[in-house]
Amino acid sequence: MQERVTRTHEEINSELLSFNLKAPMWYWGLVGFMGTLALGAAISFGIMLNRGMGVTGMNRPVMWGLFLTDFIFWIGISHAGVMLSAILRLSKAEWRRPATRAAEVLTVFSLMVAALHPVVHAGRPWRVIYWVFPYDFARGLWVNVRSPLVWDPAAIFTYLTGSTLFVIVALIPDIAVLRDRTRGVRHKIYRALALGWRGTPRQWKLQIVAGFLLSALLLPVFVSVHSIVSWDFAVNIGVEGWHATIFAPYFVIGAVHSGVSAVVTMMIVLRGMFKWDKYIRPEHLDSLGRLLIVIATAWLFFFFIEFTFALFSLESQEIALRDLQVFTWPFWPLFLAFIVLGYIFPVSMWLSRRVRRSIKWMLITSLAVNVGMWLERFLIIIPGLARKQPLTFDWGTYHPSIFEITIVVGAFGFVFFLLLMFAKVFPLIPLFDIKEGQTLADNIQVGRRSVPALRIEE
Amino acid sequence: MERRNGHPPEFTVAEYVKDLANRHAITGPRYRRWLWITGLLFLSGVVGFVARAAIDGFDERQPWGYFAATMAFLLTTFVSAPVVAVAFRMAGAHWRRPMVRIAELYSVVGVLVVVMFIPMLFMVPSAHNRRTMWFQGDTLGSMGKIFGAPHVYDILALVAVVIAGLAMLWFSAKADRTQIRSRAGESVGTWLGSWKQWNVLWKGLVMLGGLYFMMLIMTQALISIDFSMALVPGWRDAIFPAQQALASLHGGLAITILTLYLLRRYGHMEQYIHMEHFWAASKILLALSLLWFYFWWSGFIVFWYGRTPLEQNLLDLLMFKTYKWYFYLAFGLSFLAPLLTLLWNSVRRSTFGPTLASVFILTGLLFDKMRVYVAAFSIPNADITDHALAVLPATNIPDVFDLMMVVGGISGAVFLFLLAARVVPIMSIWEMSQGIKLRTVRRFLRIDMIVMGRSE
Repeated sequence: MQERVTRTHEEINSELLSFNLKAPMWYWGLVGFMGTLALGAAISFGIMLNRGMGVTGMNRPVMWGLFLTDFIFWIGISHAGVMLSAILRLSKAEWRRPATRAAEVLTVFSLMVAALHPVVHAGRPWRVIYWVFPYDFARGLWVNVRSPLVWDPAAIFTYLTGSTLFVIVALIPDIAVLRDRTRGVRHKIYRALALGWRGTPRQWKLQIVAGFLLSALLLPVFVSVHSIVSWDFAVNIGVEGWHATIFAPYFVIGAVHSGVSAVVTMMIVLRGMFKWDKYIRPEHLDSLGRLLIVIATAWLFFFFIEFTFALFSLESQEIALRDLQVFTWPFWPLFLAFIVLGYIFPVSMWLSRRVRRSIKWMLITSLAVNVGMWLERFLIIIPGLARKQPLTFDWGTYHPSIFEITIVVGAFGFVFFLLLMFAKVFPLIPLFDIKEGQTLADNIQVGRRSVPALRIEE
Repeated sequence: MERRNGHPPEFTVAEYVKDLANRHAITGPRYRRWLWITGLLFLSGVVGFVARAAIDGFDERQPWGYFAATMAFLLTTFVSAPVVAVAFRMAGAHWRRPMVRIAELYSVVGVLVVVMFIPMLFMVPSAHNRRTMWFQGDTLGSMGKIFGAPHVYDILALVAVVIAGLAMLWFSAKADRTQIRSRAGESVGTWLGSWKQWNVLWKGLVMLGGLYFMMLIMTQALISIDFSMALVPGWRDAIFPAQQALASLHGGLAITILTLYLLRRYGHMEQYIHMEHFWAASKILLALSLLWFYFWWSGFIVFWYGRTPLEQNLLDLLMFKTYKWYFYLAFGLSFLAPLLTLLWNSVRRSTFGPTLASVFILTGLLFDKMRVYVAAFSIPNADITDHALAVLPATNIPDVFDLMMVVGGISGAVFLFLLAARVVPIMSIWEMSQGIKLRTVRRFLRIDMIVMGRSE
């Protein structure tokens, strides 16, 4: 059911830019709180640097813990941008319009935070620079380019560069609007960032073409990033539960699932914070909910195949791992929570149109998905490593320390901190996109009914 | 009706219905000729099957590899075509309208596939005491004996898919058959076209479509695992069933585009089938070709990277030694050729370009099925319970009976489609009428733009 709300261009400008021009007091309190969480993570990292990795819970055989779980989680969240912005732009879905910039910006910031996690995890992060920018000053040592761990930074930085360009190109017309509505230092900054935008037909044409090209170019990058991250695990023949050919698409679809859910959460929060109920309407959440049902069911298919084929060979080590994941404390409640929160609860709710159009329930279900998907990554990494060794006396456990927990929580705080800073400086709903949607809207009379319609250019 | 500013000509619902009803009433000489040709080729396929059964029997699996590949090919292409109607109807794609009935009509080929599947049930042993996804055996961590696994469940799944597809066709065609009969002065039955009946029809199509889609994915996974992967010792490839499911989307769309082109060219339906339909479908086809490569690469790199002898032997069997030419053809025709064809916007914006890509894809799929099923069927029964593939079997080159069965199977599918097109109108009257009512051309600023209604 389409609920069109017609606003004039001036109303759109003033409603969507009001926060950029003047922020309320609660905003600074929220920024302070998120900043404090991020600061706590930085302090924990500093202590870790000073005292060594022994302050974490990682120990043989579980050498990858919360940092890697969080790394994959944030890479997953970053898939929201391309899914919602690029794919829905290419398929010309009208309901994408309020969500695209928020999704793109979430992509950029979650990628940045994700890229920090291997640096934190490395213990001696100054050595990581060698991985990303290999140099050889007469030592005769180069990085192992056959390792997926070396492909990771290449993929992540390519995706980060492309996504940042995507955000910037789409922002230019809105920066120009801000330029024309500000004075003093802010005007000078916006004028520089607007890159001479005048809104001429040629500039609009170039902007639209650039948007389409970037959307198309980012698609293979978006698939490759999480596939390469999945191969960190899948090409490894030594760890039970990791050596599966399904990992690449399984990780990608899981990323889309968690990413789109994160965008739903963010849109609902923005709608509440900035009073954007005319722009983020129940019809948008309804469409997102329907998309999520398809994505979640595809994810479940891949999960089912992955689990089935793990048992297919009937090898005792693999069975021991699955027994640990599904039936053994402390993993079995996490497994149960993962399945219920990641699929059963949200999808069964989303089947109801009333729920899909309910702000409260969409917020709850989207948060549930992200808790479930975080647990999924945890359950892939830790139990596999705990059962890695062939001899049972070498099996281990893992107990995350307060430093790891602080850093993980701080990562969430840092992403929200960056989002809030962005929201203060740039509009999170693209003005020109909303205006374009209104311009293309029309009606067709079919019998006695007036059907909402869209003008299409072929 | 004349063209406006390069847009396709407009016509009224009454004009369209009259034209389609007239076309449905008559059969041309070309139609009859092709009915005879495909019928005779199908009969030759039956002869090839009988000859193979008489000479080799059903005790050994090796002589039946090409037969199994043909069955799998028909399942992946013709029987999967209705997914085009399901997916694009659910997505609300306005360009789906000329092709949905073509896609739905291919569900009749399911009857042939079920008939072909029955002898295959005798060629595969039960799942007991060997590595399958049914997990049963005396010493393999039995989960209890599952009666009839895998045969009973595979045939049930296949029959369910076919029934779902036929039900969708019957449901979708109900309103159209009533239109045709009323124009011919015959009794119209119970269809009155009331608001409630239309509501039930739409909801029924949505539910049947969802059921069909899920059953198709499950059936593709079950049959491909039980009749190929589980027959090769040590072959554990989690992405394989997903790859087969993707291949069914790929093949279903390709056969629909090919049929659409033939209908436009030889059925003289240019006023209903335009470049925009091929253009829109070609983007999906390109995406599916890229996904084909992605799924293949995901499986290949995990096997290749670890360098374990078991996985290297499997790669040699399926890709680099025993069936390498089938693999090269499948790879080239399913991915490279469609990519190089559809990469260019000018090719996508034509009717021939996507059709050519579809032909590549269908041929590539056929070779891919041969690669998988002939390879799997060439493993002797005594070896399928081994832990790993130790010795590569010799390449099974097709003989004249194999070729007769392959050609006969494909011709049989086309034959059934042609017969079904006499019973059900080949283009959906109600879907096209809906599209006509929801579309118009209006002046906006200085140009004419198409205005498409979105009734959802």
